[in-house]
Amino acid sequence: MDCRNCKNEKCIIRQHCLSEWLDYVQRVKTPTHLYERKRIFSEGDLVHGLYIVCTGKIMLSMAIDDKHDDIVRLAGEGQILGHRGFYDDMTYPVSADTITPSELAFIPIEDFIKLVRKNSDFALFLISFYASELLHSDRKLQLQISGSDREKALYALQRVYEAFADKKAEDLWLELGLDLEKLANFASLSPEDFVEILDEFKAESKLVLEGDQIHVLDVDFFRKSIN
Amino acid sequence: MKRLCENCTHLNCYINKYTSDEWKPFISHYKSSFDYPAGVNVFSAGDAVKGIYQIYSGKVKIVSTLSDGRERIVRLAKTEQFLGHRGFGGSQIYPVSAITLTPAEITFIPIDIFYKSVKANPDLAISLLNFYADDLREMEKRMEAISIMNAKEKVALALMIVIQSFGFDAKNPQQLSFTPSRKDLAGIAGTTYETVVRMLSEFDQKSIIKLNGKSITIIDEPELKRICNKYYDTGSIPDGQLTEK
Repeated sequence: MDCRNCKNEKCIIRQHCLSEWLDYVQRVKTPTHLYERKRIFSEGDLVHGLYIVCTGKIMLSMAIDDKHDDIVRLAGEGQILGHRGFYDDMTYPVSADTITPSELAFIPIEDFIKLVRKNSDFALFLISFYASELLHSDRKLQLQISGSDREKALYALQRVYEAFADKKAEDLWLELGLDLEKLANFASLSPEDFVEILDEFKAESKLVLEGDQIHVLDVDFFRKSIN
Repeated sequence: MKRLCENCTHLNCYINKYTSDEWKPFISHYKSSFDYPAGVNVFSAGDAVKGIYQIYSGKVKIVSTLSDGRERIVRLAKTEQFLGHRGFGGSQIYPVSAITLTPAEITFIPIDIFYKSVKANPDLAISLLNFYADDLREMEKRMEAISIMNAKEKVALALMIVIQSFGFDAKNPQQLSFTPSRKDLAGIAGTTYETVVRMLSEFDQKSIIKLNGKSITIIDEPELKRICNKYYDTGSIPDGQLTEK
């Protein structure tokens, strides 16, 4: 994908950087094509740069122990990966894996910093993005402590919607990308409890589940603010 | 009385450290300075975000109220630190409340002035992104840990967080410079008041800490750290971040 004539309206670089800097990004980025279920970076790796998801679906997870991971975020087209590593230690605190075949653009850290410094709208967007990510973490923590199963399931589905949905559509099929077991993990629920709540939503005509797709019947239900 | 950024001696303040000299008088002109007594809200969850706050002096707790009504302290903040940065997400509504723990002098910078300052000062933008990334990383470590830490470890870590946030008394280097109430310690630890009282008493009996009325003296900090290090390297907690398992 060429940044200079990219048609991806969701791309944060295209949205927030000056047009002359798109040419710069095109020159410094390294495009990568990965099949599904491939590792992009691992928790603990040194941060050499950040990634933009040009196409595809990604999950970010954090190891709880040797056997268990906790999925902390899903990222879809146009979104950024690796921003959690942008602190003093410069190591990724999470691992990133493709869910579907994906095209990624790797931007070296020094070029990313230059991009932030020279594109003030991009800098402001990133501040707002980080603040939103913090809200999500706060909310997920709150749910872990005192949320009901229903609240946890709904919140996970809302985040899937945010990451992967075409938000302009009023009547939409939402490709989950994740199997139910992983979705349950993302919701911090057991698969059995998660399926039970999905059945509740189906009974309330909020959604229809078919294979790895959800037909969203009540879009407002999914758009509900995290606040 | 308005304090001027251009004469400020708080060298670790983000505004002082990362904005150019030309921008400091501009920020001074538009900012407001307020003095708060202890125990009052600087802003409340649900308020619209109108700017960002900077602590000139004093101590503040950032509180989130759970759906069952319990109060959870997500961060402790002190001199030179920002308040309200979580509010810059999508809805521009504060998701948490900030409440003074001590009398505090706090500066308010209106949102448009803050945004202009960020846009014109790339070093401020970069340092803010670092600050957010740090905060985010800590939040997620907490989430990772919260399900596997027992009450004793949570209370030990709450004490470590207070040490790292506020430090020790200048005259008595083992006594906490500020001891939160037992209720606030429970809010930091994510446990109950009763559990905090029980664990503090146990730590006191084992000579890890010494309780003097409301204040707490830390006798054996390495042991306290060891208790919570079973799961987490507390050495990596940055100032003010609450990180427990």
